Amino acid sequence: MAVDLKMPVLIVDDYKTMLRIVRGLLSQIGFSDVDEAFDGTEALKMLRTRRYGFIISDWNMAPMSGYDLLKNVRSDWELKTLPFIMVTAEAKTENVVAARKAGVSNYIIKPFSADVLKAKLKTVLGDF
Amino acid sequence: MTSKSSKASIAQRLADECLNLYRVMLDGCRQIELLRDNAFGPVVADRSVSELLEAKKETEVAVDRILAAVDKLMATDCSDADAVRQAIDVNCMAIYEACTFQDITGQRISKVLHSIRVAGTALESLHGLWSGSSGAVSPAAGLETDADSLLNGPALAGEGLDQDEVNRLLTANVGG
Repeated sequence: MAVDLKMPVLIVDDYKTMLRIVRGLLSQIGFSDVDEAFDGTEALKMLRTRRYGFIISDWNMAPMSGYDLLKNVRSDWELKTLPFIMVTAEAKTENVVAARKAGVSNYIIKPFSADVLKAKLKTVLGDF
Repeated sequence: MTSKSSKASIAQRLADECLNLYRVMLDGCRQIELLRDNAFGPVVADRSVSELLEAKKETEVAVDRILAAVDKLMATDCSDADAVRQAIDVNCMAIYEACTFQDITGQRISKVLHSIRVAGTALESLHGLWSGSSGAVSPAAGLETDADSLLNGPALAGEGLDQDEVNRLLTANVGG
């Protein structure tokens, strides 16, 4: 099935500049319907009110981290299959292993390039 | 002439004062140890310096990349619409990518600020202890580690995984 570039996307980061950058990169790739949240708690509320095609989230946020958000998403019947990409500076083996065990769809280390983001999205969503 | 009971009472008071002094000195030593281990010790101080040096380097690299992209944009042949469109796409993407430095350097600086706050708290506690003022800060204040022990922030050069290693880990068998 072809990937619908019009699908709504949720990006989550407590750094406004990072949200702006990810939004800009997604726009270049072709995704223009992008919503923002500043932490996991806000993101979870938004996920329960709108059907998103995928979510891109930072890890290190408060009061709810991206890792806790991932666990909440995967334990929610309505949200558990949502493609969830972690984009984070956390680069230790235990981070990747923990995220994978929690059900992350893919994992990008900051700083990252547009090519990496696009490749990861294709891996998760399919070719576009 | 001081009575026997008076002498005993004075001796007891002296003993109590000495014991208190001993306790204050012991607490002070513990505070200094905490400061050494968590703020001014060689490991933490070296780490803080490394984080700031890395942040400075990342800022320089980012600015170079941004200026290079701007130079390329300015050198574009404006009479060629396709070339202009291509130049804008490629170089704007490069500028977005370069700007991700702000998040990383922000996290590094936050780590150093945390160390400075810990040092300040420990010094306040020491001062309170030895000045005899009430309301001294708890010795352990500021040293609480985050409940999420997976939070380490950006790695220094040579530490942490790169994207290829992460990709391999995502597909490897990591067990139940």
